[in-house]
Amino acid sequence: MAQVKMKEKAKVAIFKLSSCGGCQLQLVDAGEDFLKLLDHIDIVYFPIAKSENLDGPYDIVLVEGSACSAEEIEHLRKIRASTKYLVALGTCACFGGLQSIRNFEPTAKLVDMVYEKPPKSHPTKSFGIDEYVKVDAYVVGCPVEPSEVVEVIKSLLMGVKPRFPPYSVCVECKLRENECFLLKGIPCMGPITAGGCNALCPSSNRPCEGCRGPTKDPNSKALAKLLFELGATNEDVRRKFRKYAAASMAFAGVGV
Amino acid sequence: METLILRKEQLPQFIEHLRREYRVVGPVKKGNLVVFAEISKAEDLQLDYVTTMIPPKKVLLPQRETILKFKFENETPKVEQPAVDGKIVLFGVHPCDINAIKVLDKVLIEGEFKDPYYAQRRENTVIIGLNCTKAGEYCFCTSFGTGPGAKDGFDILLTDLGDRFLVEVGTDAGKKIVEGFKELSKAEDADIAKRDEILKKVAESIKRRIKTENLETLLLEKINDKIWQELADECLACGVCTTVCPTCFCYGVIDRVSADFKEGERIRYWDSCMFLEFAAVALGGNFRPGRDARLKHRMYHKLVYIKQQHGVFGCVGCGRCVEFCVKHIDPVDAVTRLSGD
Ligand code: SF4
Ligand code: SF4
Ligand code: SF4
Repeated sequence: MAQVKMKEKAKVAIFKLSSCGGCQLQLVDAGEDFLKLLDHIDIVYFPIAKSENLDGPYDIVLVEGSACSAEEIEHLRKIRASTKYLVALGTCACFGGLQSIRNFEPTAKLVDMVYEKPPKSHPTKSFGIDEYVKVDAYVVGCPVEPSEVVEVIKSLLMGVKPRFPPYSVCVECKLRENECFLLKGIPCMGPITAGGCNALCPSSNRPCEGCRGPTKDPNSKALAKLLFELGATNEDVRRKFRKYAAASMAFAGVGV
Repeated sequence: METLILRKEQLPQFIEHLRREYRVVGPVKKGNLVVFAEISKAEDLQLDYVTTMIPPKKVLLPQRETILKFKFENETPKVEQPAVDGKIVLFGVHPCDINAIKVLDKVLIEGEFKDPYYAQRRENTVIIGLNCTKAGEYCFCTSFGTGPGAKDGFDILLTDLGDRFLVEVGTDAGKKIVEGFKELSKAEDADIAKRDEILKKVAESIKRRIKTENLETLLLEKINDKIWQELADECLACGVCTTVCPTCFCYGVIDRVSADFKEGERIRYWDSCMFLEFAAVALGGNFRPGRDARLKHRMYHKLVYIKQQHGVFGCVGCGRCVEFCVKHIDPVDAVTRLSGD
């Protein structure tokens, strides 16, 4: 293989749906590697970081957040139509995020609870964006790891499939030679949470909260069973599984 | 084999002696765990440990290792082999782990294909073993004859006799080390008798057992037993069991290119047959999509397939995969149930 040569700089856009903005901020903070990428990409749309923003078509779009209203779904569809590659950026875009706790109550009831006057938008449930559009690559994490965003962009530029760790948070936790929370009887989501954070929380003496969403083949039922054995209530278990990725197939049905 | 005595108060000097030529990696305390790490003095060592969580394998087959670097200059890439770290003493390795390294040697060096990265590290490594004076809750090394005392596989072997260590020399490299350390005295028959007595007591304290007679036949007969589904219902597919196993050698390989696309590296990392992607192939195929198939494969690989391929069991009975699995999924228990005992 000869050196990768890009004819023109790829046009990259970063859009935001319902989300906190934290994943986009990670990009601003992504350091040297991200700056090196700027030799190969032009960030033409990034409203939180620049004032001049261009319309599509784009080569790569990163979408942060989940579509939580009819208007956002429409917007997402337009974004998809404007780009060659669409990347789901962060756990909201991948699995519905924190806001998907709304999925377990009728939307109308929640709208009544939250808004004094009927909102101008038309709220919906919160799912990963692949519920509505085709997604070419996923970067999980709340927030994302900047190095993984860089990896995805590099892969798309080279035309190869991005590869991320196949393992759970537990594997990284073991490699860092931490004591296990679950073995001490403290609930932890590590066994079924996608690795790649280098077991950040367990290594800082906090159990894993599952912010990166499920592994490829999570046995949610078996972890829930273990949490019950440790004395968790149905409500505790529901809260654990719904915290970040309630809309994922693997976590949605747990503790219901 | 030569047998000598190292008095405990001589240990600091002995470590100093080793450190003149080697980096010394041994068991040290980390919170409530004991981990293998480089030491600078004898006091760092935690020699009364039972089992570390991550085995000393991490020194010989690092979890993440750059196996080559490439740089693009003009049209052709320039390839470079990173240097392997220097000479190491693995100090205080228990018999199960010594035997696990023997399994790795069989597969990665003595098999049909030689793993040059492992082989080079192995070449640079001296093993100073330490017989067990107590067993852990999950140990079952006596099933495979891989503990509590080591018979071979070490350069030097120590046994803690209370105020002194019995020192057995296993190889020329070991001999050179003890010859360079003049302070050792000759062991008496009574010292050897004491070693045997200690090891007998430890062996008797180990109650967990896998019956190895006809194990292959039994397991092959029970390949479709309902137990595998039962265990798979519990298994979280987290991959901890293979990560802590001293004989698991499977790895994945990935190329990472720098952000300016000018250079890159080929990295290998520990993989696990417990992961869905492990047996995935192109076009979406997967040979072991079910957790039951993966869990069964892990145990069969240890207890049947490695034996068929390399003539030794792939399990040394260290108990790590049971102790550190949050579900305590246990090959001893599985085999006991299958054999109807
Ligand atoms: S502390 Fe959590 S992440 Fe770490 S090994 Fe235990 S269960 Fe897994
Ligand atoms: S450690 Fe236990 S739960 Fe995790 S993959 Fe292994 S057998 Fe399954
Ligand atoms: S299979 Fe389990 S008991 Fe056997 S060597 Fe591996 S970790 Fe130890």
